[in-house]
Amino acid sequence: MERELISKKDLLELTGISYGQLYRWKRKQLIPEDWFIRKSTFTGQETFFPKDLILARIDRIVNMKEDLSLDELAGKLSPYQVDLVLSNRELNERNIVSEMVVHRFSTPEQRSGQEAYSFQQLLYLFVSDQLLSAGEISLEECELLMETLRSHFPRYEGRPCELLFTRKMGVSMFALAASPAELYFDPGVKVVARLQLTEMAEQLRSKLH
Amino acid sequence: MANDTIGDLKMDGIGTAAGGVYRLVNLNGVCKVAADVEAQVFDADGQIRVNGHLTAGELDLDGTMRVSGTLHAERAFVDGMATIEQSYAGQQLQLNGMLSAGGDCELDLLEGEGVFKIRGLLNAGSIKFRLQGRSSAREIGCETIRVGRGRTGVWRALWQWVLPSFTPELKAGVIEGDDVELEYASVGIVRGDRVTIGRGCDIGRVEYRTGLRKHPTARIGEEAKLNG
Repeated sequence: MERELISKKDLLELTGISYGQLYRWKRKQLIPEDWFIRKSTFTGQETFFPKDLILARIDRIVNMKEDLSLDELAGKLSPYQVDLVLSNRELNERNIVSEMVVHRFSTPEQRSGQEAYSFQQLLYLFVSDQLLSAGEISLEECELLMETLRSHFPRYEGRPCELLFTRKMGVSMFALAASPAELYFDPGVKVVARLQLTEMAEQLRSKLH
Repeated sequence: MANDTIGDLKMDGIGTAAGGVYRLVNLNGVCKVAADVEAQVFDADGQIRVNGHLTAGELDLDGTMRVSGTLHAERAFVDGMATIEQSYAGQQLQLNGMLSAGGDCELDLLEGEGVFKIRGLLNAGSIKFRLQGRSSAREIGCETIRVGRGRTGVWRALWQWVLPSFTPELKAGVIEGDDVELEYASVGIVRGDRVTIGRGCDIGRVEYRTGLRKHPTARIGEEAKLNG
């Protein structure tokens, strides 16, 4: 998945923030370390950022820093901590996750609107939906994915992790790994999908707001 | 670990101590800490070696210290030489002597005189430093930076002639900040809002927003004013 990058210079011009602010936010861990992508260009080393993520993040910081101190902000911005719940109806209206996935993986209470979805549940649905609509996994595999996420994802307690989906001789397998992880497979293994869950959470969040 | 029974570690002379969590660590002499150590106050005089990560609320060092892991110290006062093999993070550092870090260095305030050698990014709110030797950083990002030469004397010239590493100068790949004031620096690119390039500088390219002041002896390859 090739994602659009923005250079530091363009970013500062676009958002109107200064170098000092950017570095201060990095120091306070408002901007994650792994968003700073160093690439060599003709002028030497330059730093780039994933455009959609950094713009959404800066927007959030600028809007929230009026009311909160930077340290309070850092807590708010941790990737999976979103105090937000969504009802079934809202979810369908906003078209974040396809109806089919929502229907299939919701509890009866959620379907009838008695119970809302937490951010984590939304994230599971969102990830499944992304893979499913990209045609990378089948519905049965989707079940397996949901099961994997439900039983193992909470163990990471908010630390960054990634989801791997591999196939070998037609047998499919899901794995969660703390990122950054270096994994190597035997030649028969095909890595079908590799998703950073932190990024997925970020994408989902930008869709929710 | 029960928090109400945190002990102190005191050592004088030559010895090795175990790591762990302490309230006060007081080391005098040639001391080694064998594992990760965490302390509210870490007061060390002499030649200290920590084999692991060091976390301290307040660090007061007189002498030399080598940390094989990372250093995290809210407030640090270093007189002497501190070598951190990995990264260093904290709020405040008063340095009188030499600091080297193998990784990145994140501080709100860096003040002092001497030498710093940062292999990674030096990210600081404010840097006020007087150079006494050849300092370097791969990259510096900050709000304000003011770096100049420290005290000079008759003997300095001789030392510099004998040992070139005594030449007070700063080498960096990139310096980015809001207020940048440099002297005797050779930098690839300087980017900032208000930039002052003082005497003895050799800068590849300067990008500035509000203003650029330069000393007649400073050499600047390219200059660019960015609108904003």
